[in-house]
Amino acid sequence: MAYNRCIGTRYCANNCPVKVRRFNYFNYNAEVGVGYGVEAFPSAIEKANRKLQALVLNPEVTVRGRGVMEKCTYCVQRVEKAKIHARKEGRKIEDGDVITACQAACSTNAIDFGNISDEESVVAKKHADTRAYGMLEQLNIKPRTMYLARVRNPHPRLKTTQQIEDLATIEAHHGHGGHGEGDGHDEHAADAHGEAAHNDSAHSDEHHGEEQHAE
Amino acid sequence: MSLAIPNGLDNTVERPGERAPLVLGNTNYHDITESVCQVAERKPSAGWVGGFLVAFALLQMLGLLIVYLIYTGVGVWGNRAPIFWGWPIVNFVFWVGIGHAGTLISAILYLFRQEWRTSINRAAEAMTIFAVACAGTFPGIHVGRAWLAFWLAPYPSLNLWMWPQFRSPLLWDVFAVSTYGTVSLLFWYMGMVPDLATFRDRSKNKYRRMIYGLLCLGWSGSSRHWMRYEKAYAILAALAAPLVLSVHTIVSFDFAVSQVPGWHTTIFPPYFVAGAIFSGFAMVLTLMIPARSMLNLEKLITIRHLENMCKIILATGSLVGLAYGTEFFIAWYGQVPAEQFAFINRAFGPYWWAYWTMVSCNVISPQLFWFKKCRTTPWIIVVVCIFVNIGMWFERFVITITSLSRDYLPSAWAYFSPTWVDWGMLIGSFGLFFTLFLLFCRTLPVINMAEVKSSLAKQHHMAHAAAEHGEAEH
Amino acid sequence: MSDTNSEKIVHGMMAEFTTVDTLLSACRRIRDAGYTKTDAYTPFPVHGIDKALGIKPTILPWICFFAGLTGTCIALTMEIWMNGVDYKYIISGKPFISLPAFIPVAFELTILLASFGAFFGMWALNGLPRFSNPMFTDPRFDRATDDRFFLYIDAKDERYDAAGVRSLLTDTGSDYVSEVLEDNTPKEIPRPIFVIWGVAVAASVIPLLCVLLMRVTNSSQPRFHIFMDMDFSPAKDAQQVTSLFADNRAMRPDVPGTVARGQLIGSLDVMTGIDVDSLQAMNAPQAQRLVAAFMQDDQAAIADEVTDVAKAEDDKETPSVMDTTPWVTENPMTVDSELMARGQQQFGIYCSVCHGMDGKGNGLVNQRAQEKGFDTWVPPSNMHQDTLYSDKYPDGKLFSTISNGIRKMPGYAGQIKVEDRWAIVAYVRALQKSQNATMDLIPEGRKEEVKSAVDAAQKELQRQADEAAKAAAAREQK
Repeated sequence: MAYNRCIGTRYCANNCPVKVRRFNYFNYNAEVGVGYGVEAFPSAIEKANRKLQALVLNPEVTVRGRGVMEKCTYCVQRVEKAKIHARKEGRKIEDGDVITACQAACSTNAIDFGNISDEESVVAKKHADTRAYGMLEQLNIKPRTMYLARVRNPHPRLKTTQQIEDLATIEAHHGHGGHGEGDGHDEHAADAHGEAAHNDSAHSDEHHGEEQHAE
Repeated sequence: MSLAIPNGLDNTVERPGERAPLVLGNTNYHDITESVCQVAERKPSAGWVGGFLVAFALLQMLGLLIVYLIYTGVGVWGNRAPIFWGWPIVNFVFWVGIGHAGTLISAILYLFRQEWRTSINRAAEAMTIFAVACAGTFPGIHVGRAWLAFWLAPYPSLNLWMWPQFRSPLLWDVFAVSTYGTVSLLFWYMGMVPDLATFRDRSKNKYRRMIYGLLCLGWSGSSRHWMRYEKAYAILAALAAPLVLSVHTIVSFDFAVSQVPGWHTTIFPPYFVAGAIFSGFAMVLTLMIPARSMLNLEKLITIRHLENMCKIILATGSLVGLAYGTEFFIAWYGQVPAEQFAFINRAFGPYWWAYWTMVSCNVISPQLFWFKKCRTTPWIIVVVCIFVNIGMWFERFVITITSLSRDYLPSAWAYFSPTWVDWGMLIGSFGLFFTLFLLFCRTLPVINMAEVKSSLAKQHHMAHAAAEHGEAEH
Repeated sequence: MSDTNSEKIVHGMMAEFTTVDTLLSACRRIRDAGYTKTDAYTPFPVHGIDKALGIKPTILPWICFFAGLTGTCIALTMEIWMNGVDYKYIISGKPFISLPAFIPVAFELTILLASFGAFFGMWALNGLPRFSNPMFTDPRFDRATDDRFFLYIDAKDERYDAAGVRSLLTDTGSDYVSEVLEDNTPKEIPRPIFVIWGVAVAASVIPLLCVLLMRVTNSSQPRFHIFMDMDFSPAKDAQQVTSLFADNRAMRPDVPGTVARGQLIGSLDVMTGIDVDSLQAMNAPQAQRLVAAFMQDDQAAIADEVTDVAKAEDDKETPSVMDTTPWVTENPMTVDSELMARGQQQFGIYCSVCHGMDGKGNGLVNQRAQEKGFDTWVPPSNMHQDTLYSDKYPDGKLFSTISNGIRKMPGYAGQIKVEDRWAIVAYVRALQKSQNATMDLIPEGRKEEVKSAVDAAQKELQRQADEAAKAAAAREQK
């Protein structure tokens, strides 16, 4: 989101199939003095300041006034910081350089964040997992955020024909991904195949904690 | 010189080999001038003054609401995630649709040499301009930062260092609606120039004469001017005809080019255009029927005119009904679950009332026009047309809001409820429309006198020819 | 009429007709009579009159065509340049130059410019707007826009001859034939128009003037800001005040309990110099208070707590300080040459100004204070007293003194980092050792070198002492 270029037509929010966007319908920052019109005078800003008991704005990202679209930035300030550090040290970003706020707060470690273009990173490996699926992938929206399907672990002999077919399709699909994983990973993947039943349709009903997000 | 066509003759009866008269009564050129000019020249009636005051008050309300909106934020509307586009866009599409009849009547009927357009085209064009003005209000104030809406224009900006995004349907829409507004204005104004000259030449007051003189550009009625004028008018008509079709097509792209199930449909362009013509004609009739009796224009706007328009309403209404059916068929035939759900949800979801209001108003009510009795009885026409207008507003409501309220992820679903500002702005936009329309009735020629005279001349000519022919046979 | 106004310029002759048919036949007659500079004025377009008068077709369609073509070119060039060349932006899976997506705007601009071509082309070809026209001089001509038809022959026509034209026109069946004369009504624009125009212009300038005035005003009222959020950034800069917090500082200290990145050097022991576990065993409430103070990150409270601990020591006069306070006895840092160098540097920066480079308590500040004889001056400690050696004054206590101060000495916790304070402790120990070192401690290889240096230094001291004695004796003699 380039907040300062946004005029707020909200077309992007309509078209977002996963509805992750939110809109600043009002000047939610009025209390900390991002005023418009007569409210923008310094005295008014000070007055607004007195009302507010806590400094709630993240000083590391652009201040958004009303009328602009809002979206998860994947903690761009943390990403930038990690990039700067990595650049200073002349290396690529590694796993653990960037810990997003949601990741830090997640008590069950369900979220991984990292460099998907680095094949060795945890996220890239998880993206390549047969359990990985994107939300509404069928719309060709190519999401960066992927989810890992619930592990059902049925006995192989109890699998339905449908499950076996689905699994075969998924494996074929992932095999063409061209990630060039190492042998070790393939073995791991093969193990997972035995257990993972990829079930998209059941996804929304499932308990969130059982899933892992790989972003 | 005048050929007597008896007053009250039923000009809706088709007589093979004859053209039905379009000007009734013992009317000559001067009578036409008189009957049109008296509308603006006489003292305003109490009805006009009352209507104007009401409309103007509503316009003031709209203005205040816009100030309130821009001062407070677009959250004063009922728009909430996931219904990011709510009533303002419904109103926008509704008014743009209304704004289609005028230019269509003027341009397409002109190109098809439909003489009957002459009595109604001026008011219909005016209605177009005013409806486009109403429509133009909404997208402008709909954006979150209305004071930056000019960023849509491709101007070299020193603080942005960037250009608009020409691959977005929203930008197409900006160009389409503004071009349509401009060309409609030119077309309307150009059609009015000779009639403004008539107003100028009839005015007794020096200032009135001066103002109309300026407006009519010093028109003298020279044949050389007429020749170029007619050529220019024909060219404008030829340009405006595809433009009319393109505008609602592009408005429909705002929806059709998107991802949302229920919007992403290839039938939208023709469906929107048919709907636009449908609602536009209904609005013209809603306005013209009371106006013709109040302004004493029955001789010029005859039952035949009304009947012809009813036939168009019947045709376009049935087209719209066909489109509703096709949408369902394609949703079923396409076998896309989200798409199928969107349509089932329209008809049987939480907004079922809106859907069935739309179907009964738009598809069922115009079917009355299969009966000649209904096509020729003004009050029935007005009632049906009001229903059509309501139905067409609901059509936009159904498309915009039901589709957005339930798209792919059930976790994001919501139910829309309008706020008082939404209601106020819808009502206020009617205030804007009627204020402009009532002012137009009092200050500008409501009927294209030059064209009606020209059509009367043809009528005389043909009557002469017929009479001579008859004499020869005897 | 024409007779009485013979001095006026005559533009031509006009004739009035009441029907289209009479007009058309009259047109044909004058065309056949050879007149070319003719025109007809009608309230509506009369079909066939261009043939009857011999009017040539217009070039307007060509103007329109080229205007439309210009529109297409402008639109396509604009779109390709803006989205494909100057500002490339990947969106909606379309290429930068996406012709299908460019068509709607190209179409609209084509129509727009072609319409302008038709509209303004018609103006231009017709010479409109033309507000003054000699035809308008005759009041009867007002009906040319109502129900009368006029035929006009211009005086510039080669065949024009007033009498002949008049008889020809009368012959065609016109009821009214008249000469078209120059309009000599006053040309001035009525005064009220000027007044209204002037008032409107003046009024339209007022808002701009107001804005201008409010932008440059010297008054105590706030200036008018056209772009509010550009003039007032909501973000605060360093060192600014805010009413948001009781201390009015916009820069905020760390949230209590936070340890800044890279600042967690070890346990609380390292941070305080006290063995907190032992303190807990000896004096639980005190230990809790100390930990609480640390949790609050309240420097003053920490200082208080630690001073309390130290006071308890002084009061009790016990043989070992370890009995009252379990000070950390060993430097928790790895003592190596790097730490020593760091300690030396930090000691030089912070301590030596009072305690002197050698730690004897005679730094520059002390020298000046002695010189000036400040009576409130408490001389800094000499670090070489045996009460300050590590057996009586453990490392932890020394660390605590550096951190929290003692007597007149302020605490340096706010200025010196924890590990640097420990480095100073290590350096002070080395300094103490250096003053009482024996030759046994010197490594074998360097004994000679040190011995000679010590000898040289002793000699130098001896020489200085002798010189001083001599000088003193000389002064005595004088």
